[in-house]
Amino acid sequence: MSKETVRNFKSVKLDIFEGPLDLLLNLIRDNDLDIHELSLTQITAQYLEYVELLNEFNFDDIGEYLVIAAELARLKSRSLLPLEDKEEEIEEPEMDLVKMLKEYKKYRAFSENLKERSLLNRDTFKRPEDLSLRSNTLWEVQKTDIWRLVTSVKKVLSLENYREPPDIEIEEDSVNQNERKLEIIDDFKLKKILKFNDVFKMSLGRENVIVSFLVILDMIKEGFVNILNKDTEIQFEYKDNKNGQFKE
Amino acid sequence: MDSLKNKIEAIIFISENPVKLKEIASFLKEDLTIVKESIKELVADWEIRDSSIKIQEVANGYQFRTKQEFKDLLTEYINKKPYRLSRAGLEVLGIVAKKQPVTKIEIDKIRGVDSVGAISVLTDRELIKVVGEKEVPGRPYLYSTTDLFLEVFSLNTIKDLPNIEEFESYEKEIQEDVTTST
Repeated sequence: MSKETVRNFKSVKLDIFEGPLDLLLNLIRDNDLDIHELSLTQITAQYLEYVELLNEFNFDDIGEYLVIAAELARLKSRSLLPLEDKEEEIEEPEMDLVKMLKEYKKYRAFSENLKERSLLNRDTFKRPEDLSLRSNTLWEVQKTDIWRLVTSVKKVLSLENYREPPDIEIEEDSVNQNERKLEIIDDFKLKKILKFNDVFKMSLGRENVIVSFLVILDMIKEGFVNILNKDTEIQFEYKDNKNGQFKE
Repeated sequence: MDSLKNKIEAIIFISENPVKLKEIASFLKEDLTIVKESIKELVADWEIRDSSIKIQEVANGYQFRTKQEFKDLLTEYINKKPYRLSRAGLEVLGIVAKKQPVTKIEIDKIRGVDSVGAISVLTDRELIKVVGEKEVPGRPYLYSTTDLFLEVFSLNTIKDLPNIEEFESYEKEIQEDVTTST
């Protein structure tokens, strides 16, 4: 970053704007202006400064800001033209920036008002969800968990629409149990809870499903994985051990 | 102790989500107007009682809730990291609440920015949901607010929200975000 940039950086108050309209409304407010075309031309320079700054930061999404910048430039140039020329321009389709700003301002204010309501779990509380009251109580389900797992895996393996993969030679022992275990562990690192279908993918082949099943059984035995029942779906939860690391 | 009022009270007490008048009446096999009258008394009873909880009419139903005065105490007691609803999220929520059913493009047009992130967060939190497709090229999804939205924002129906035109000349410092959780 050059010295020049650093200076600019300091001179601009860095608010987080929710987009070009938000930025424009703030500039209008900060300059004590009302929303109309003339005031837009007055703040054009400030707006462009800000967009330049966004550009400096290599912001990815400045496209939306640039569209509005172009419109501001158009308004400004039109305001400088003599009156006769303006009339010719009327037929052009144009974005009605003033109308857009007024509309957005209403919704922005409305959303502010929303958050001042009495909010559940912020201002008022209800009794928390008590899972033990549900019909699928945990202890009941856990007794049959392994069998549900076995049945579900069987179901995946017997999918009728499954076809052998086309003519690709597959070497024997292509799915290594240790490798699959590491893959599953990697998945657990991303998501603490894996869905049944995340682990058992028929698209990866029959052998993969069987190896995955062995790996999961092994991990359950070692106590790294819990079987959960969410509604009717089986899920797997990774239990953190003391070091937060998996034993290999 | 087994008056109609007490039965209703017990049902509202054990229910996780707001219980609707119709549900209570049909379960107790009682007349709708009689049940409604009883609930009214019940709500008033709890209002007068020296208690930290009340019966709130919300999401077209009834729910036991703590009174606002206990906000700080309970926030400390629960000691749970509250999740944030960003300004973008609130704006989108406001637009959906007012314009529903509404497409993403219509939301983007009002905000002047892409709202894809906010929409997916709100959908995940079940504050808005897809209710259909608009009969235009591309068949974009139509979004509406959910019952959970009413529950979280303490609204009985969507009509309880103030008119959008009231905000024509509303000027207030914008704050960064709101803290809530569902």
